[in-house]
Amino acid sequence: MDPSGRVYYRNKAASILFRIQNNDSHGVFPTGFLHFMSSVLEIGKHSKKNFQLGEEYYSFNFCPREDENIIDIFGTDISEEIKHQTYFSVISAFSTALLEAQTEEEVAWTIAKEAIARLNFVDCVVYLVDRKDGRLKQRAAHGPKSPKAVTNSIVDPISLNFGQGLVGACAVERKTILVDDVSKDKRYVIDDEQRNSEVAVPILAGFEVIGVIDSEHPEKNHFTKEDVKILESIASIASTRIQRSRVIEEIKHTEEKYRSFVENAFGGLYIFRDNNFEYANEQFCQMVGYAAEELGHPDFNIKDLIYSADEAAMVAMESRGKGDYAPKSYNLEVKTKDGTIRQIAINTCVLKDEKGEFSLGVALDITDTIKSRKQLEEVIQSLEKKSNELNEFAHLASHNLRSPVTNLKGLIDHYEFDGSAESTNDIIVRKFANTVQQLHTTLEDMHQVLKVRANESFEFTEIHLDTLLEGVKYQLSEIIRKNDFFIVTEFEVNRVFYEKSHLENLFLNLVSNAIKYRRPEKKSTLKIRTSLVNNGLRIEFQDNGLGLDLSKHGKKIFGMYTRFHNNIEGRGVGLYLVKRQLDSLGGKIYVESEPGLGTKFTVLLKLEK
Amino acid sequence: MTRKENETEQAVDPKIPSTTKIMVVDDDSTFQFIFNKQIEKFGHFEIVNESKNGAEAIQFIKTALNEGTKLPELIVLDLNMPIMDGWDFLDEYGEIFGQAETIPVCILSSTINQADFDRANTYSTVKGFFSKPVTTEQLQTMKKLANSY
Repeated sequence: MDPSGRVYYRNKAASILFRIQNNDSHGVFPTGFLHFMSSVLEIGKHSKKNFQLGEEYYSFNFCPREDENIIDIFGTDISEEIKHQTYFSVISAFSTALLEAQTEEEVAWTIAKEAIARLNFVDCVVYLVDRKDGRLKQRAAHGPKSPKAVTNSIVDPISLNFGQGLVGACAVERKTILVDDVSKDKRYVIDDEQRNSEVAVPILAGFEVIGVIDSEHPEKNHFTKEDVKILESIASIASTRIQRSRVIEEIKHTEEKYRSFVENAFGGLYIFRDNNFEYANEQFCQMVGYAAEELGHPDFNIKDLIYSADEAAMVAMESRGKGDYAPKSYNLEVKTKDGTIRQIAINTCVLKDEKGEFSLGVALDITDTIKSRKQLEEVIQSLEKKSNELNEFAHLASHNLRSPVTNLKGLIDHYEFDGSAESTNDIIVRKFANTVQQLHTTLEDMHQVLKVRANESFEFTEIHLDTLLEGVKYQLSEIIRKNDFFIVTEFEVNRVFYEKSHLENLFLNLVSNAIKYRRPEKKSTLKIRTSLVNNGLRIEFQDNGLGLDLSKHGKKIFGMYTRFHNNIEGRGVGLYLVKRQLDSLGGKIYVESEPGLGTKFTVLLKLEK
Repeated sequence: MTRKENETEQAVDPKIPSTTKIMVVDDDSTFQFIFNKQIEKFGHFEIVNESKNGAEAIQFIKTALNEGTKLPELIVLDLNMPIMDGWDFLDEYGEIFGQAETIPVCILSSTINQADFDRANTYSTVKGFFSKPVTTEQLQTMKKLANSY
């Protein structure tokens, strides 16, 4: 060929391609072909260039002959390669764009926009299956459906059921549907305006359809096989992106759920690693009074938090980090930031992650539980004590009532009503009178005991102990005088506020006891001392009388109807009453004694301030 | 050990020796007086000792053992007494005799407490448990008990 376009030689393919009739004639060349040939001849170097002829692409080698104004041109059909190149460049552009899309929404919009930009489409709509109602919902549209595509919004997005229209059919069949002429397909549904050809490609996740990419075109037969291939590839990439975003969403959601569970959990939760609190939830922080940042600070020492730990807790805590992974439960006394002590129940286990071992703990504040349990135990104990006392009282009272009544009946049985044995009758009548007196006394005692039990209201009045003692001495004046009994007092404290009847009864009983149980052969003395002790009053009654063997009788001394000496008028109620009255106002009484060496009673009164 | 209060006077075996020597441990002098009167009428018994508490009773038994005098054949024991009550007496009494043959003990008390009855059952020496007032039937049972040991 020469620069004028005159062909000297051509093969058959060239004749067809350039429509060359015969040698030396001109053919029909694509635009720029002859111009490029001239410039190659001028330069005189081999060159290569692609030209499009109709639907096909050819690559031409231009080879100028040396010293001749003639050029040899060899052409090769490269249409397939070009199509592949286009295909790969479109797919790669799509992939790159899709990789940047993080959410379903972004994936949908990327597909719609890229399809228009790279595939020469006039319209592209992306439907995704709505996970709430299972319908296909328009999520992104480019073309007339979204005039302002920048805002990523759709005017009147429509939803389709599976099976509805070409899109619905595509979803049901899970296959691409390509319709070259929609007027011949009954499944076609008009969206915004009538068009003539349509392609619908499913987005599949396994066997499940999660969406459909749909495009229509005003011309019939617009979509090529290449378009379909590209759309299918894009659908596959889109599917992985959508699934990924859904998994991420799921993880986020789950994590939120657990986080909210952990943060709002009923108990305190913490993670303890390398002697440090790595995590502590709000409840745990409130429990111990420290903020999470304070607990997590490297300078924070767990020893500041533990006030005391029992044996079991020490063993459990020390076993950590020594290969013992068993879950542990123990109780601790924790010192909170403001210094209060709380009882905390801990359940821990050891877990492992990429950073190593750590222990996860659940803490429960059981201070109030322990307190109320203690209170309950106290109530139960006091009820048990009361019940036992009542039981004991009932039995003793019945015994002490039965004895005299039985005796009365026995005496009557032996009374000689015909007067035949006057001396016996005299004895019987005397014993009868004694027994009646005994019965009366027993009933009086019971009355006294019940009065103390009946939780009467107490009245604290000012009492002068010396005056009180004078009153008691006056009541006992006869036996004091008769027995030459001597009372010494050392009242460090003389004026107290107390229930007067209790104090009178106390002095009366302890003084008269000392007289009753004196040693007749010895000069009898009772020393009464008072002194102030921790918010109370101590009163000591020390005598030099008979004394008692406490190893034998110690437990019974304050019991009801317990007597320790024969032939001495004692009913076994006095000390019982004294003890009960002291109990009722939080007082205490102790006894020290040895046979022959006297007895010392120590009374502790709780005084009101 | 059971209460046998329904036995009649005819149940007394005529071959049984007519008088059984007994000791009575009770702090209630009125009871002692009445019991004496009942024994007078009932016969069959001779009261050889009256003790006002467990300690006196132990003292009497120890003296009798030391001097070789005859021991009573039955001990009638009250429970609620000063100084040493019936229970303390039973403990010390058991220590004196150990596993040897002992004089049978009948508890005679005003108690109607089941716990006392159960506790008495734990002492092998206690052969009878009677509640006051004493009836003729009870005396007969005591008599039979004394003669069967």
